[in-house]
Amino acid sequence: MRWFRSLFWKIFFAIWLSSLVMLAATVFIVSQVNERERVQDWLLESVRLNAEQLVDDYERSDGLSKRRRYYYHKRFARSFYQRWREHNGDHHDHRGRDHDDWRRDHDKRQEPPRIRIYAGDSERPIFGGRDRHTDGPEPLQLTVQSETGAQYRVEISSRAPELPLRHLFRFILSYQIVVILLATALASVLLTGLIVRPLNRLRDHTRELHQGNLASRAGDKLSRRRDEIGELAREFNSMADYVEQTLVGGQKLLQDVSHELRAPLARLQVAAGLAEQKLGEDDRLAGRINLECEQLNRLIDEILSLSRLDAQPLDAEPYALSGLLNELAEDIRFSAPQRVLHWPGVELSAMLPGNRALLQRALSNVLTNILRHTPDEAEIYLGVTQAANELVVTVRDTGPGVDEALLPVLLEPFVRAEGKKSEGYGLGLSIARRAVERLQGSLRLRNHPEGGLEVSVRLPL
Amino acid sequence: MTEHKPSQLLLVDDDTDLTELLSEYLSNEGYQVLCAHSADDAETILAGQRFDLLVFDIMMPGRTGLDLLQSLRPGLQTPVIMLTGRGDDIDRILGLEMGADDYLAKPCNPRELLARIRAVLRRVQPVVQAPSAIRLVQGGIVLDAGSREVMVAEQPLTLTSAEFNVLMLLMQQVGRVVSKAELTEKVLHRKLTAYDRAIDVHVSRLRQKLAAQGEAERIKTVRGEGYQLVQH
Repeated sequence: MRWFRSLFWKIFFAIWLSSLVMLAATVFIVSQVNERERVQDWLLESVRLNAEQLVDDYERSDGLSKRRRYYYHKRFARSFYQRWREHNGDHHDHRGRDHDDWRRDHDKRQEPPRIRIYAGDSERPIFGGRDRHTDGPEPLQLTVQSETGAQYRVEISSRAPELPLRHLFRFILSYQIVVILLATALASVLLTGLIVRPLNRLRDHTRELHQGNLASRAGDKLSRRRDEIGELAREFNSMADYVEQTLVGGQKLLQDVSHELRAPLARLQVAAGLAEQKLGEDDRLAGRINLECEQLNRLIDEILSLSRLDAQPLDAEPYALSGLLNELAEDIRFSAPQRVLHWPGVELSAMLPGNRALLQRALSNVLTNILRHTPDEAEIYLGVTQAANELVVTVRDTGPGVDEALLPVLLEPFVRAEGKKSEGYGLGLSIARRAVERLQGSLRLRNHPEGGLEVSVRLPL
Repeated sequence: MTEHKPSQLLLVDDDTDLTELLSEYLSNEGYQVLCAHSADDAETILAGQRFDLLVFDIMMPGRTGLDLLQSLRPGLQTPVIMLTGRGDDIDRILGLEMGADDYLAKPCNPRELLARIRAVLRRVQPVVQAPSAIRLVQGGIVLDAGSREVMVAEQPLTLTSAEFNVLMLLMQQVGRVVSKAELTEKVLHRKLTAYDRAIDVHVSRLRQKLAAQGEAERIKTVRGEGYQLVQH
């Protein structure tokens, strides 16, 4: 599974990204509103003082000369720019500069607000032009009082001072966003873990079950949960119960039946022997009965030894693999002297843990299988290699190999290569595999590229 | 084959039908067969009668054939053949280690059982090897082929007939490697087959007994060939 395909990362990114976007948007909007309020505050502040002076001046001289109007325009503009700069983080003293200088030097997009001042409820402004910004937002209203106590309305219409883009960049690079990133990542890791960890545990149990540990069940922590995962765990447990019962029951039945078959078979054989005594040793029928009894016997043997493998203890003493292989090679040379056997006789220092008899059983079944199913001309290669933490025994023949389609099922009980009049029951290799698996190893079959079947047995050290 | 009085056999098996059939079969072959159907029965019968050979089934309700063998040995000199369940390799080895002379997996062809019985009987019946070789001496081991007695460091050593025959063969050919095939043929009176480890069990049992009497490491294993008695 590629890492990005895993549920963990999918859920993690989904939660993380969505919460990140949500949080970032919220923080951004809140700070925008905040900003606007602050801007309005200082805008009003910067206008109020000048407006108060203006109305006093207006009352004293009963109107404003053109020069005074121009003067106040400039004052409004200057104090706007002064505050604007302060707002944007420039605290240098720029007094004495003309507002046109500001305009030239700085933000050309930012125009000072238009100020109109009305006396009382009058519609005619005493200051400021008649035209309004029609496209801007609602003008800000401000009321000032002159020394005489008359009320004046001040209307500040401005394009909302635009926040320059660098505000956004500054926001993105700010510590806030780093904190948000970390917080959302943490939250999504926790959330994801909450979902994915129990799933992974359940997967491990399923894998164990599949690998032959029939007793594997989801623990209390999983199955006592009251959510969907708990339900899944309980369902898994009942399924595992069912699987275990079925498999163990089937095996037990097979074993019991085979066991019970032995007693009548033993009597049958003796009865056949008695018949033989009466009919003479070379009687065809008696011979036939004996032959069939032998067949039955072998079948029962194999079934019983297959089901007995699981009962074999594993805590036997460690043993040297090379000794075992030498013995097997010796057996082959003895029982099939016509065969060519290549066995380099490697001496390995490594000791294998577990049950020697089990491995011997497995390997001799593999070898017997070769002797039985390949022509006498086929040569046998026995070899062993040592890797970091395992030993690999390979047994290969130069016979015709096995039909590719049959390879995956050949290790199942009662599966035989067809088209051959073989005397086995298809149990030899499944016994071998079961024995190797009992030793925590694995047994694989493949057709060797140069012809013939290759059986490799991996054993953990 | 039965020139003098017929050999007496005791069959111990809980399957009464089987013992009936078997005793009929073996009687037809000239043996006198008595049957017992439990270990306790067998002990009672054995207390009052001598047999030439005993055949025990291992799987019996109550005391098993192995228990019976254990309680009879080492006082019992009569050879014993154990009938084991098929595939019970461990029973097989255990039986041999406890002093059975041979084993046979059940169910089996009665001809096979007959052959084993004959082989074991032939083995224990005093065989005059060669008049000169009746008494063999090797270091502290003294073997009397006539009386079938072994003394090690002047102490009598109790051996099963198979163990005795292994030792005798090795002593007759001291210093030479005796092959497993030869040992199996001469001691167990059958051909060595692949995966047959019976002779190894007898040898290792003999080794243990010798070692217990101070004759350790007298029998050497020669891998791929056989066994050898080391000369002193």
